Amino acid sequence: MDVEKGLNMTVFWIVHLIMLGVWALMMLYFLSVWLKSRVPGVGMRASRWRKLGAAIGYVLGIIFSRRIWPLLRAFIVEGLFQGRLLRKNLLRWSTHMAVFGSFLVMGVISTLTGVVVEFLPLLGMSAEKVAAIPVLGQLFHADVGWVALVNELLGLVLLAGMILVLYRRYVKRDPQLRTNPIDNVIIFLLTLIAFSGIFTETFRLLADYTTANGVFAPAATMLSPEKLPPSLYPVWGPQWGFVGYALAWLFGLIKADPSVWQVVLNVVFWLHFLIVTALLFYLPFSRFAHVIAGPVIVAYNTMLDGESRRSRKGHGVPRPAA
Amino acid sequence: MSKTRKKVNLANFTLRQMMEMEACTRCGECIAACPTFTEAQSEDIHPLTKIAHIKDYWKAGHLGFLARLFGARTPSEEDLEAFSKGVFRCTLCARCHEVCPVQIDTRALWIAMREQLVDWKIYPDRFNMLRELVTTKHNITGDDNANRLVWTQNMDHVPEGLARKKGAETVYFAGCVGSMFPRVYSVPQSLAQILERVGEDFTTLGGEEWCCGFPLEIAGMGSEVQALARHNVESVRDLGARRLVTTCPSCYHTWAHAYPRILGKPLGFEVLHATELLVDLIGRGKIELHPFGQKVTYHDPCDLGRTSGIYDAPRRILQAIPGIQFAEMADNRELSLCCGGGGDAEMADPELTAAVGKRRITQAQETGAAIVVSACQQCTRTLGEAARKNKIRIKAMDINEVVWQAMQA
Repeated sequence: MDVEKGLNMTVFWIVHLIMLGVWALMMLYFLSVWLKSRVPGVGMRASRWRKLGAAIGYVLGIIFSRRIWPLLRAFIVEGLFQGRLLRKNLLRWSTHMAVFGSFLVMGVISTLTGVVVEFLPLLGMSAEKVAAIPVLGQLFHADVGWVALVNELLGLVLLAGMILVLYRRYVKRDPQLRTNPIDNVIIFLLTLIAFSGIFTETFRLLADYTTANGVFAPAATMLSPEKLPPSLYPVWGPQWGFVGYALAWLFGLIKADPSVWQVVLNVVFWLHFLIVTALLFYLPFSRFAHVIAGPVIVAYNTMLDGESRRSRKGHGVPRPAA
Repeated sequence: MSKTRKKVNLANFTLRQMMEMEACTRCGECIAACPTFTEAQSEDIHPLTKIAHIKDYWKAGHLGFLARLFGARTPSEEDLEAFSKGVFRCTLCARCHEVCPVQIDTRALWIAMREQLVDWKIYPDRFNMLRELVTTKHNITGDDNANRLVWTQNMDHVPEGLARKKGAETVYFAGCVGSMFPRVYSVPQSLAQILERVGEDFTTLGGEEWCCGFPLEIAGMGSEVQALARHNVESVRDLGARRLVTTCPSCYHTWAHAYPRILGKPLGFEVLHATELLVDLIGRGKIELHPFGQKVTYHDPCDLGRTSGIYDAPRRILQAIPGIQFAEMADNRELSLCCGGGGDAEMADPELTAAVGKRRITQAQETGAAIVVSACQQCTRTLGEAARKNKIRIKAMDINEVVWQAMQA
């Protein structure tokens, strides 16, 4: 069974990396089309390579100058934490941060997990050695207590964010929002990602910790040392992923065979993966391109705004009382 | 509806603008802030739709199979007509930029869209006339440009050396509206008299003053501006002036920001808006102001405030006048409402811009002020017109007129 699960994950990582590669190529193609536009300082008829060179040179010029500090500050305050939105409306900021923030942190954790679980063993490190790396090594298994808790909380925050999105768009019907058919599809898919994530976790717990009699009875020793190195036993705690754990306990009452749960897990897991990948591919063609372009542009434009305000005459003159 | 073969020429946009279009979150903040959408309630007019459409169009034209796969649609002729109407009915007030959470430089983006529409030849017919007048007659009215100083004709006393005095320290650039629209002649007259009273050594370009090119730049016909810029800058240099002052914020913006970019080098002389010069003269005690017992409010011209960042100078001038009561309007400074007179939108839809003006003049009236002061002859004209048409008892005055009156009182 473990061999089968291991193969399943390897297939997943291969497919995942291929898809990410194709996506990266698509983004490069996208960038090459963008470079048909004007790049200041370069003639209109300049080649796209020259424009790219000029754009990279410009970015490096900012990075290796004092402008990097206001840019970084704006990137963090306005780009990642959406300071303007926070000052404007707490509810909308919370909604944005719940969805964007949880996806961002989950993305970072997933990437680190990929490195720990797949990449480091490829370099010849044993599971035990990888797991011994302080903090990072504990990402080796999702049932390490704090890893389970963090993932669970992020999933719930995402779900809460999606509920707020649904409320604002379909219940409250905020008049400044415009919803087109594709928005409905994307919102549905995002909600599905949140739910399918929780159920993927539920069925993984069932597949891993269901005894031959069909009883859900988690124990660290039920997993092979390659999957859960014994050094992680003291921090093992799947119950910290409390929603998935409770659902697994509930489904466990069915007393199905672990192989059944494995099949269900495969279906839900690949469905979850498929939706995430589909959205990733659709991203540059949809409003969700702002996830990538937004933080960059808001940081850059905020930096420019600050510079132009400082250079204006009369800067610092106090505003007269209204 | 027939699909068009028209393809977006991406050279009309900068790389930054390409990214800005992607950065739009479609949050709708701009919809609530857009003064023309507030009046027209037309979906084609607000920023969110304009960005969504142009993105769709360029993707459909440049991304081939991928665009079709992901649903970017090729526009029909009708779509482009509607898009054009939305883009040209915008007053370019840039209020949308102020509220945009990602700080998109919207005004520049709308102008780039207009350039694209001009390429496609889908723009209001009247803009052809504007182009014709400005490029051949060198002003927006089509009058003989030799009559640029017609605004001086009904003055009791015409300051000396107004017509291209060599070696003058300051050149006053009156602009097309100030020079050619009788209703606002008193604006250049006031500034000229103020400058004479304080002993400034100044002149004008007389018949060599050509339209600054702003109306063409914002119409998406920016390629026509280079010749105008070169002529105007050379004319000032010929006189050997140290600085140029304008009463028109659009001229100011063009001289201060567009000309150095268009010509690719600094102008070699200082460019000031009249409010900057006046606040300096008041600060140095060169202007003596007498009591002006009126309650006034101040309207921020879009091209002076949001576009050029000058908010304090006019307020400091007004507050320096003894006896004046000053009240801010509900929407002021960065969030000031547009008067409707900008962006060449009046040429595309005068009814709409009149409605925008009505909202603003009503806001001015709500302050209880007897006078709404602006620092732009176009705003003064538009607000005065709105007050007259809507029978609102408030007078629209330019700040130069107020200062000149306070100097004489």
